[in-house]
Amino acid sequence: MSQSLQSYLVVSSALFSIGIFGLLMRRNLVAILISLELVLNSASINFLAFNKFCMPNKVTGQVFVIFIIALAAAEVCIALSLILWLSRRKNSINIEDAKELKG
Amino acid sequence: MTTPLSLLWIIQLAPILAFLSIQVLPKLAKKIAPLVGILCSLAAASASLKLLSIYSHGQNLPQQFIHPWLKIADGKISPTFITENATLVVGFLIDPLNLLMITLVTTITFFVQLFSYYYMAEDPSRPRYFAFLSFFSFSMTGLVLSSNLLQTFLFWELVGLTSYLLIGFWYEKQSAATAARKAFVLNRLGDLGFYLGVILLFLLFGSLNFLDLKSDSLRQALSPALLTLIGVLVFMGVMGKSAQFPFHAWLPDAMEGPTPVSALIHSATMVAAGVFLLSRAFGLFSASEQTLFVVLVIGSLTAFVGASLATIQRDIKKIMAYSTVSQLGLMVMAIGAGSPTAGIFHLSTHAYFKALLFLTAGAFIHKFHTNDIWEIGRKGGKKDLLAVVFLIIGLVSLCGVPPFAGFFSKDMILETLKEKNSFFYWVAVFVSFLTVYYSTRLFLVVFLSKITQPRHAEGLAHHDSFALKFCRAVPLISLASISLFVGFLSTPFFHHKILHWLGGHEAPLNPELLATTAILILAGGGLAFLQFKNPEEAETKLENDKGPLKILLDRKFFIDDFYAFLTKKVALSLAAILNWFDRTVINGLMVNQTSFSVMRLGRVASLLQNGRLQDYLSMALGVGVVIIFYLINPKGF
Amino acid sequence: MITEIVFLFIAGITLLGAVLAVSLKNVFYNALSLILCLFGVACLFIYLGAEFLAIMEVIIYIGAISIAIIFAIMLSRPMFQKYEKRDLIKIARSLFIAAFLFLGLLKTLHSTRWPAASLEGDYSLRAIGKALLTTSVLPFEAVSLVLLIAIIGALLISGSKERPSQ
Repeated sequence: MSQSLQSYLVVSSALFSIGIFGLLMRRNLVAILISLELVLNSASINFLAFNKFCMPNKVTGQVFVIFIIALAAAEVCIALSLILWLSRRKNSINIEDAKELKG
Repeated sequence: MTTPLSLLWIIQLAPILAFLSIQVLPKLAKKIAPLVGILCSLAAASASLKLLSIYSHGQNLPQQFIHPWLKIADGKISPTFITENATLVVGFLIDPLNLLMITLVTTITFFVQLFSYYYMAEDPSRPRYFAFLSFFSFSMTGLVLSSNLLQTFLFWELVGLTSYLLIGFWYEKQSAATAARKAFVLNRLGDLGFYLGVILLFLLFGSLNFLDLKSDSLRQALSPALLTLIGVLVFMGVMGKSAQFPFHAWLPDAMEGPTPVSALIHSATMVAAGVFLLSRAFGLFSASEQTLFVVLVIGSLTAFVGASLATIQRDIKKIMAYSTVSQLGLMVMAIGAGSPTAGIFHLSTHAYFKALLFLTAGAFIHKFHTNDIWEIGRKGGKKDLLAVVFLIIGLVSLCGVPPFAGFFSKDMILETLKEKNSFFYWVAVFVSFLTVYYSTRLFLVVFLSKITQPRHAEGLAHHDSFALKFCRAVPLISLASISLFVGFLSTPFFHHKILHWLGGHEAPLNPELLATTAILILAGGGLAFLQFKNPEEAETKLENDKGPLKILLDRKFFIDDFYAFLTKKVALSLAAILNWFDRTVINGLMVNQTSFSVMRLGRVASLLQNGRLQDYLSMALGVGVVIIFYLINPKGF
Repeated sequence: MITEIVFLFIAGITLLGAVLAVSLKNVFYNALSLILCLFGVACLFIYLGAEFLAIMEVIIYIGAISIAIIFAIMLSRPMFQKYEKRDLIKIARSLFIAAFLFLGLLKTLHSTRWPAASLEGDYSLRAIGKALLTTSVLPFEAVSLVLLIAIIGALLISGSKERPSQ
């Protein structure tokens, strides 16, 4: 099982779906961010799996995962500062309170 | 400069030149407008007399000068076409009927213009008057000289327009403006039928030239029902223009215009245009027996209504107007009975003596400042010798007393009717009786009234200059002489000149008819004398009579009430319904509801935008899921 | 054999962590479950032959990012103590979408023919470094630029003068 591509892809799909579920359900901004991390990780697993099973002579997948991790870090950095700023402004980190673009 | 074509152009264009110069140079026109008008009408009259003399022996006629104008289609529109392609033409036509008519029109126009110088001497809007009068001449000559029905229709409309302009000349008076509008509307109603007839004729027959409208070719091309329809439709135009029943109501009201206008337009020329058309396009009307019968019936109704209503009028112009209506009815009857010659002959004599009568009435009105015959009598009408003499001449012509013109033409009509149909003959006889009655009544009231308000006592006397006296007298004298002369042209003394020329046949003087005429004159005159030998008594009797006949006549057989009902109740309620429909259904339902439903849709759609990120995301992802499933298995969808 | 069992165990841990990360009410527990999940993901990386990346994952994701998340949780003062109310419609909707998404992805997986596995490959650090600095040097530089900008941006956003009203 650990040598078949499909199992890895199933794991990553499951992780992806769970991440989406969290993204759509949670109201806490930080919880949404956490779900987003799950999605990104599922993408990383996908890349590595395909790299190992379809193009083993290259390291492109791994290089890409490095980039994904780096960008995830940058994104979390900005997102967290925005969340902090928003929480200071509105005294709440409920995403349903941020609906100024209504209408 | 004497080729026929150039003469035609002079006749046609001289009046419009007068109109344009008066309009374009208003300051100059203030001083010389009458002169311009008189000179141009003199030019037109001389040109037409010259034309008449060229063709006086009737050779080479008819002659037409035409020019193709508009090609409608390359081939025949309908199988019964008599031409190869559908083309509209414009052009002039000369033939005996035209020449007689154009001479009549231009000479009477000239005399009326001359008289107008006297009549309108104190009116501040004089230039406008002469401009419109010249414009009318242009339209009328165009109508007479045209070679096809469409061109006639164009000038027909123009004549109607100028009639409106001239009736409402004193537009500040509410009654004048209303009368002008009434005339125009009733004219237009008739023109609707005319136009439909012209369209049908062109689409089915192919040619509108008068020379092509012969009964035989029409009967070959079209079915009898169609021919009757077209004939009746075109006759509707005649009814509107020539004041036939029930479109006659505008003519008495048209007396609101200046009297020379009434003389020119509403007795001699415009109303004669309808009779002229009847005779011009006689081929079209005679192609169907039913059309002629309709014409005959309407003509007789008109004659009867006109004569009966003239018997109780107080206004001298209204008497003349109803008399015109009834004489037009007689002319139309003559044509309906199958003799356009008789109709046209009566038209020409009637034009001259009616113009004379109107101008005489104008002389009375201008001098005594009143239209009422009893007032004229009281103010000393019988003292104005010139006017009284011409009144007598005009009235005896109207009554048909020999040897004046009216006798010969009326006689011809009665003969034609007698041959055709006995009932209508007796109607015409009765109408002639009434004619004598009301003419005598008019004369007796003016002549026999005691003078109670002489002009000098009221300070109304004023001395006219020589030019004004000249312009007052000359037209009256000329018209009177022509009235006398024209009649003789049809007698054996002059070898029945006019009749030959018009293509009719001479008839010997029927002694039975002579006797009938004599009896009529004596009876009518006698009855009038009995009733009116004491005008003051008669006036009180007239005021106090409330019998049913009087009411019927007073209310003009309720025709005006009928028209008022039609316009106020019927037309306005129809308009109200359509207004409701337009507002509620079209505006409210279709237009407003469309915009409201779009707005409602927008409001519903904006509910989707609630500003929540997760809702947007779920929508996007939901659609994405559907797309994924579709991509996996497109056929299973 | 044993690798298979361990593999299944690790996959289970990962998914368990993920499920806990999205469903627990206390957001602090969510962060801790995230850390659990990331450990599982790191082990999966080892299975896939990317040892370096597994270490990187632990150091960066768990050691930096998750800690930052916990910082944020702590700093967003009133909130981490509040528990969210349940909104059944929302849960149902999200569940629906996520489930169908998973199903769709599974169907796609099953219906494609993947190429046969071959396990040789040089995934040494040397190879990665070489790739980073030769074939992928542009993204490498770009990512470093992005990181720089992110730091500056975060400083700007959070360093604004607004003070919360007390």
